[in-house]
Amino acid sequence: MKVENFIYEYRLKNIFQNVNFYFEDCQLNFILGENGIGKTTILDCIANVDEAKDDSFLGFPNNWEIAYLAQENGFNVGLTASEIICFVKQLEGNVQLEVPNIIEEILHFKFIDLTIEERKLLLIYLNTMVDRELYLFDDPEKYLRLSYSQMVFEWLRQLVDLGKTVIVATNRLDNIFDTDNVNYIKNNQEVLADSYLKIKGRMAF
Amino acid sequence: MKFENDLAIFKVQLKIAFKDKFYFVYTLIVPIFMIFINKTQDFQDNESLYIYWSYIVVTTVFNGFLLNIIRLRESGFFKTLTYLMGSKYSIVLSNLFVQVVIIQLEILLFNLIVFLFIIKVSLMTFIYGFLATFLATFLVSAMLSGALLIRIRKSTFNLFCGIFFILGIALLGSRPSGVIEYVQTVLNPFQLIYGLYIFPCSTVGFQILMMLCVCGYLLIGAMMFKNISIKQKLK
Repeated sequence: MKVENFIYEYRLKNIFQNVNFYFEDCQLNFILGENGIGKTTILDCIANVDEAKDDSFLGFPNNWEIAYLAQENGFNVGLTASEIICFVKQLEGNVQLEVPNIIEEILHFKFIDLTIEERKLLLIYLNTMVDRELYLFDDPEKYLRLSYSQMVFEWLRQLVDLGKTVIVATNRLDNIFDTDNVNYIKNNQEVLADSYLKIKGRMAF
Repeated sequence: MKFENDLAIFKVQLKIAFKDKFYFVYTLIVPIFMIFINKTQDFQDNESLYIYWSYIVVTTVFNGFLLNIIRLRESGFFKTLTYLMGSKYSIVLSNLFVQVVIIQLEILLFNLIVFLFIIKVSLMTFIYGFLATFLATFLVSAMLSGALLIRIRKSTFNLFCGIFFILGIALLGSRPSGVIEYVQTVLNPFQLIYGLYIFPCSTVGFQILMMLCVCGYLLIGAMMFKNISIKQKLK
């Protein structure tokens, strides 16, 4: 899956000018960059949010083959975690991952009573439950302590083991392995795409 | 779109709607309270109920459908849910059908209370209320869906909603006539739905206006529905 010569303007501002992205199939891929540099924009385009995808996007699956966890999710309802999981289980196609202990512990709590961290974990878990070809996660580590974000990446790597492609947009380096494919957005004209081992020497964080 | 996904989202949205009890205070308890206050006034026929039905339909659609979709979208969860479901249309439609169920129950309950404590409501009125309310719900949803396009500050939007709501109810009570009635029917959702309920006993001119309004707003609603954005719009 790749994006070639991508140009994107928003309110007369050039977000991207002729940049390329490259994503490995059945791998954990990262879009790395500072806040506000356009990570959500590229994820929205990949997911074709509001028909934003154009001819620059090659090899990406259709919308119904994509799971996409947005950065913010104010899902303030009185349903319990268990009821929400039950709802997702009723949807067509599920991935049979083992229910993590942290999720087991919060099953009987109402979503609105969960901490912001628990809510985030539950939402990430829900997105790993559905059977899709491509999984997009926008800043999944936000609000999570390091140990929890490491656990989340274990879930994501389990998806990869099942032959799924995962793309994570983040500004944190904690959970990237040297072998992971990284697209580092340096600026609106330059995106470095390669394994993290090769990229990190050229990054200017 | 898969039927099992549609059914799952419908069931979960119905469960969410029934868990929010406060919502029924101003969509059902308020009109019941008001009809008891007004029962000493001239309350001779079943048509007097239409104004209350109009209030129930508009407030329920406004809070349960429009504000619910806007809240979902502005919180970012509309995007996530769309991809979990595989379609944004399932979410919007199931929400709308949940409101249809709730409104039908509210109007049935309201009519029963009126029947038991105020005046005899004919079986025909029960049936008419049930049937006309389907169209009323879709019509007001289509009319209010224009708000999904608004791109303003959240605080301004909340203020706008408050003014719109209070003004709409106040004007509904004014019972205008002539051109003012026509203008209000086109612009005020409360008046539009009231106009729909009194359609069979209206003048030919008013009936033509109502038919144009129904066709126009349903067309606008269909266009809004097709192009509904899942990204945040309010600043």
